Amino acid sequence: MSAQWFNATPLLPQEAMQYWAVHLGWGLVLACALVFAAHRFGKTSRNVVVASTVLALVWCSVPGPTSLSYWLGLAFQAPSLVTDLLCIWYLHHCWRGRPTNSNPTPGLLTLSAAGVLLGWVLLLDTLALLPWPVYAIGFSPVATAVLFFVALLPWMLHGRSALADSRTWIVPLAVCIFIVLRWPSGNVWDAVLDPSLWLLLNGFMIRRFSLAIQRD
Amino acid sequence: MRLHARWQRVLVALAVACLVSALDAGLRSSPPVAAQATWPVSAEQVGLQDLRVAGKGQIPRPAGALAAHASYLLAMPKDHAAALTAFWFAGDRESAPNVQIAAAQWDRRTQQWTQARYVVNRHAMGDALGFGLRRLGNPVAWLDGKGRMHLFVVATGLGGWAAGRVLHLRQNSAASDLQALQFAPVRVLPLSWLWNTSYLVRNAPLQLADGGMVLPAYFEIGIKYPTALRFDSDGNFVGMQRISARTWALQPTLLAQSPSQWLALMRDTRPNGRVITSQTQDGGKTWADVPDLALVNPDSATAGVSLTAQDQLLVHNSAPASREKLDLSYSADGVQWRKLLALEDGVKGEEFSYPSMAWTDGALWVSYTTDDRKSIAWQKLVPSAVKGTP
Repeated sequence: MSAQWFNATPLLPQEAMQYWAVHLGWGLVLACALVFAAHRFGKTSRNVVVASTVLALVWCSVPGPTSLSYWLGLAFQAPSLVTDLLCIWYLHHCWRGRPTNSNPTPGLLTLSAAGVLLGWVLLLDTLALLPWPVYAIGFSPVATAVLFFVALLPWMLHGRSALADSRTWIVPLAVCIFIVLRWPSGNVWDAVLDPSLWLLLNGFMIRRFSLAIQRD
Repeated sequence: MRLHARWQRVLVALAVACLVSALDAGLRSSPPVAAQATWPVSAEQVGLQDLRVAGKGQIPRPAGALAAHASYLLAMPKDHAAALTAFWFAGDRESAPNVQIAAAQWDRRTQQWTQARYVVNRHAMGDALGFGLRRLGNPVAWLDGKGRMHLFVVATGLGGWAAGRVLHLRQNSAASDLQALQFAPVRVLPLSWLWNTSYLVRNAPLQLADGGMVLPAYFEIGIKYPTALRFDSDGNFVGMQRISARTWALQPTLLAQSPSQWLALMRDTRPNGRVITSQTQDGGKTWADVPDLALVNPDSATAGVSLTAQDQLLVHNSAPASREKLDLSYSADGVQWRKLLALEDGVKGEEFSYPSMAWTDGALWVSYTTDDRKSIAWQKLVPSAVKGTP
């Protein structure tokens, strides 16, 4: 076995930053869940979005076991920055009354496929089935560069049409925020993909694939 | 024209990615120097191959504790009132909700253990971190370049020990006397993508010449594999490296045969197991699996220490399929071992396990779990050439 120490020193978040990565992250996820549930019951007004968001953020900011983020953090640590930004996107679109379930653009499908592939690589790495220390590479600035480049694939491939869906800019934005804040763990893989998001992406891509087969 | 525009976008993306990487790299501190191990004993120390028991007993338990397990001994500085600080986890039983990390100190003046007290509580740590910790266990301690105590503790998430994470704590009290000793969480170490789960610690760090250390850790859910975590002299995490390609090896203990040539001895989870070995020649940058030792390992924890480059000691269970015998063995090269002492030779059903070792005040101290995981036993061993202490 010939893996290497990584020359770049990992840069981990400050202790206070970690605390808020957990509370704010799960607060945003909870807010989305509440708004989604409200929409299912036909409650789509701006007030519902605002009230759900405030309630969720307050509930998840309360210290101690009363907070839902206390238990979600126990089980799942903090969500990724991409999850956080997707939640913000969703809440913003609901507040503006814009549709959130339009057909995904080719750029978004490209990123989703890349996310599914990355997750499988990270899972195989966790189970020691790969010869390279993939998770450890995530502490290196090389990983940051590669990830940022891959995140720009929709723009490279599709040009201005990639701008049509603002979700295609979430991953590059997450990488930039990661560089400054090091959320949530100091490892860039955790910043762009958490296992829960990966599971959702798998479901999303399987569904798109089966729809494509049915159309054919 | 369209192809030309696309390639332009690729070049722009490459350039921006490089800029982003340069910014990221610019925010980081310089990479650590090559890791060079050090030893706690001078090469002139004689008699390390011939040790005798100079004292033994049990470490006092905190009031009300019914169970104790997984002790760790930390040698204290020469000018400290205590020679050792012992840590272990204690409560109603292993994995009970009330388990905390307990500590006691060996007082140099009275030559006795102080009364034990609890120093880490999962509820207080959870409140500080912002998320819950289900159970605590396996404390490992270390003194950094500024003399501050660091504690690495297994803190579980949803699930049992296989859902463990490594919680890094740092002394935040001005003094490290037992009554004053307090810890605050630094972070849960980011070691795994899978909800950061299933990494644990158990064995002693390998001290480095730059004041940092290498902390052995291991992944446990399903497959088992060992990892080395490097820290600088301030206790900042600076990297991780897998030690072995085997997926049945855990709880590595590190022995240094030269500043950059180290051995990792590991617990074997297979039936009829042996002590598993891996080696590095470059200070932990790369590791290679080497043949198992002849030493039996009945799927039990070991504790190793290199007192000098030529004096390696290992405390281990030596009976197949049981933990009723606990031996101290010696090696000059880490490969050929001979038994020095039988620390415990119990009857069928007894368990002496999870040993820890430390060298201080010219003696080797050993602690281990005993009495059906209710107590922590200790023994003090001195070179036979040392007169005086019975």
